[in-house]
Amino acid sequence: MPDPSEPPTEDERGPTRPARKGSGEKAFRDLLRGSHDLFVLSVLADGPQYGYAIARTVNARTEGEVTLSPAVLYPLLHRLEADGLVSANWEEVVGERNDGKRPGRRRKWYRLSAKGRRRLEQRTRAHRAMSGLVESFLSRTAKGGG
Amino acid sequence: MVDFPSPDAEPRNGAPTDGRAGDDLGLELDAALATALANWRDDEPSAPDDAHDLEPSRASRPASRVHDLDDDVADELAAHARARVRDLLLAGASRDRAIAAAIEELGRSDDLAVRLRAARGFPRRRRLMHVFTATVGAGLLGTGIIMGGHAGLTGTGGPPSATYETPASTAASVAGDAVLASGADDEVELGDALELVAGSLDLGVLVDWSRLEDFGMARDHEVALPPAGTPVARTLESLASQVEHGLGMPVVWDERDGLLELLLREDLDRRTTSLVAYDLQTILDAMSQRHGLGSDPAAARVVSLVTSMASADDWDVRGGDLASANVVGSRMFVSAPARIHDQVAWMLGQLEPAADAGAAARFEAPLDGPYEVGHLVRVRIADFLTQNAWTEIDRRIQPDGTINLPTVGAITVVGLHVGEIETVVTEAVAEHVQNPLVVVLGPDERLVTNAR
Repeated sequence: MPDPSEPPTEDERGPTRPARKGSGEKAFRDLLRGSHDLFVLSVLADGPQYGYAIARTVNARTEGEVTLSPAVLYPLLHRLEADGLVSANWEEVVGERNDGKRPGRRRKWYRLSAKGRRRLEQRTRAHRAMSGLVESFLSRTAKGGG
Repeated sequence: MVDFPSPDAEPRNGAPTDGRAGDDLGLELDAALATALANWRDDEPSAPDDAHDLEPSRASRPASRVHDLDDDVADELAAHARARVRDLLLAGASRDRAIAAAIEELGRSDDLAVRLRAARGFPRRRRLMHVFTATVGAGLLGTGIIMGGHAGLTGTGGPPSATYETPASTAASVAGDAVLASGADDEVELGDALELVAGSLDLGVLVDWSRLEDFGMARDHEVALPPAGTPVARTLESLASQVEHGLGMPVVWDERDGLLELLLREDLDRRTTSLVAYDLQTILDAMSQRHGLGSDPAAARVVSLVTSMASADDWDVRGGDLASANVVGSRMFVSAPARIHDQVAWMLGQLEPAADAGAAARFEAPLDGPYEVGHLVRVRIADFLTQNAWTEIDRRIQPDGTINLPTVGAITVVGLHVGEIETVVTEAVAEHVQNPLVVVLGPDERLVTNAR
């Protein structure tokens, strides 16, 4: 357990990706970067979420392999919104401790649009087809190449 | 591991649990976080040690760029930070440590602002970069406007009487008919690909790598290169597309002084921004004679049309930061990048009486005189920003001098000219359409269906 009085170290905050050396790590990061939208759309397929909860779900579902930082997450969400793949609305959050003297805080909720759902289905199909093809190819290559 | 503890974790260090609200941190902690966020948002990035090595565009980046996180974005990031602080508290972090970590994880505010702006502006900008098509029916007041994809615009108004053709892409203008001298069987590093492509054109390469690296694009970014013999223009477009995908921002090619340059479009925009005075006199005169509009409202309509159609996202009145327009007398002063000036000049050319004459001739009497009972009024109401049609209707003026609009009800239009009808309809629908663009078409003009 880290010492809570100290700022978190890089290891504590992340990166949460497994250590992959050299070009392997770079290739892995490039592949992941191209899948961020798939992760986010997939999370939203389960129901509306706000930004932090999306990041948290992605992190949990990838068993800590993927952490969407705010610098990645919010531009991505805003682009998905601009493309009509997700819609968003604001909700005022009033905590139990709010004494009425403070203005309610706002939280932006994202939900998958019909267009986004179609895109998710397309991306999922394409990803599975691609994964299967590459895996099949590599396994045959490995057998053929000894 | 501090990241993302279980939602069921027991709170420590006084972290509250308040059910659905979830991130209510309490007054003191909320205030501390708010202060930290305000400092983060206003934090001026200190001049880096290597400032003397930076290109002018970065070294002189305007302060406004640093602070252009709008309130909605700030609220969203604050909610994120609040939730993050709460999670860190649940994981046992101290208050100060949790706040510091949450703020640090937000990254640099200026970087985030640029990324967000690019994310929101990219789709429409890219669309406009490739195609900008408009039909000009009968001048400004009788104009049906369509925007859409590359081909197959299927408006019901027949072929457009005039079409704005985007200037030849920079790739095509740079590369001409040249073909790639040699290709690659596998992915190559972007830097090498550029050298190879430029070599095919007998050009050198100019790339401000430090600028691109600010946005995560390095020289060793791997790209696919087509085989030898591929037209260089297509190769440049392909490379630009791959770089744009990685950056999330538009890039362009520029060729000067024997160098092929790859740069962010926003950098080229800033480089080519100029102030131009456009003379509107003949257009204003024509609008006055034909539609009875005074000089000021006519000029306002011209400005509205230009700023809503020519790269709309980039105008200051629409939240952009690249272009602005002001009218003084009969002059419209426009500060904008070259590509926007091209569009403005084309649009104004279409509004000149000579260009308008053919279309205007098709109009019947009502446009030259006031509308009377029994005249057909054809109205298209759209949203300026989205160009989505709210409604398109044909209505004959009733004996009581009114036409009936859906939702709005009866509006008196008898005795009015086109411009006046547009004005009263605009006012009437203002409650229902956020940025109304109202167009009254002539009786023999078919309504143009929005192609989006």
